[in-house]
Amino acid sequence: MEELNKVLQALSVVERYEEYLFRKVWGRVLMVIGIVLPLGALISMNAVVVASTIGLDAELISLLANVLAVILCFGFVAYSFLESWKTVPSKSEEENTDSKHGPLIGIVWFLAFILTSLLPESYRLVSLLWAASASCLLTFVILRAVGSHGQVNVLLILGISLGLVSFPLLFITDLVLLGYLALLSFSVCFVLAGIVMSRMATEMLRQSE
Amino acid sequence: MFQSQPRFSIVYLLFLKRRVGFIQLKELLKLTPGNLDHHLKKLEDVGMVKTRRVLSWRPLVMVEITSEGIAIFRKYIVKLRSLLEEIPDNLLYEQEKE
Repeated sequence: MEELNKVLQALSVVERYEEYLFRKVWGRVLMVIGIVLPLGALISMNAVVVASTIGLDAELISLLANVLAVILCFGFVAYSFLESWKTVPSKSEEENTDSKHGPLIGIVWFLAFILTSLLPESYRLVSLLWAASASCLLTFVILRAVGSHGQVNVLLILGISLGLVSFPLLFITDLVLLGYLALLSFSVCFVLAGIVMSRMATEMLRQSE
Repeated sequence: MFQSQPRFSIVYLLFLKRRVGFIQLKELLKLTPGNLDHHLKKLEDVGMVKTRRVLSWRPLVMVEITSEGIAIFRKYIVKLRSLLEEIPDNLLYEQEKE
């Protein structure tokens, strides 16, 4: 009986550590998305100024900034999640369900952001908020459906906040101001959500068994 | 070595994750730094784990399982499993009927 208790307690420790890693990684990922993507878009918006300083073509700078931002973001996200899900190879299939819905979430985010590029230019920056909002809500639904992690409410709140913030921006007629405000809203929402998620991760460790 | 609950939990977690931070271990197991250090020293003495200082934005101590530690823990788990399997079926069946 003592041995069984020992195993059960150890299992609870592992479970809490997995949940801690999950929240920690999401926190970090949200903060990186909230900084890198708007930064890429900001450089792209000011491509003419940057181009005249460096002496390169403005279109090339805009393209490079956007492509680099997307690659950096998705690269970091993929690396972070793979690192946190890395366990010994002998773990059973059932325990490893995380790695199956991970690519699905990645595809959802990728498609959402790709679809924004199809919209007219006046909506393109606000649509960044819509894409992020839809991605967060769909990620919430996927994680809930899989049921591997309980505390993903931050993603639901983030998705709703991004959606709500985007509508008042539609009334702004000045495209430059609209662009800056859209990027600022995007960044603030994501960084705040990231900080909340990281705090939740630390709380997870302190939770009693 | 695995008589103590914290030591079993430490090795089990390290067996699955290979390396965990000292602070995370302390919080997870609800131990004081001194207590955790004592358990880690015992595990280090038999060569099951090793601690390493990592330079990050703040100094971190990482606890890692050694290949010897993996082998010892694997043997222990196999033994534990075989002990459980040795419980006669009829004993379990009779208990169910009660």
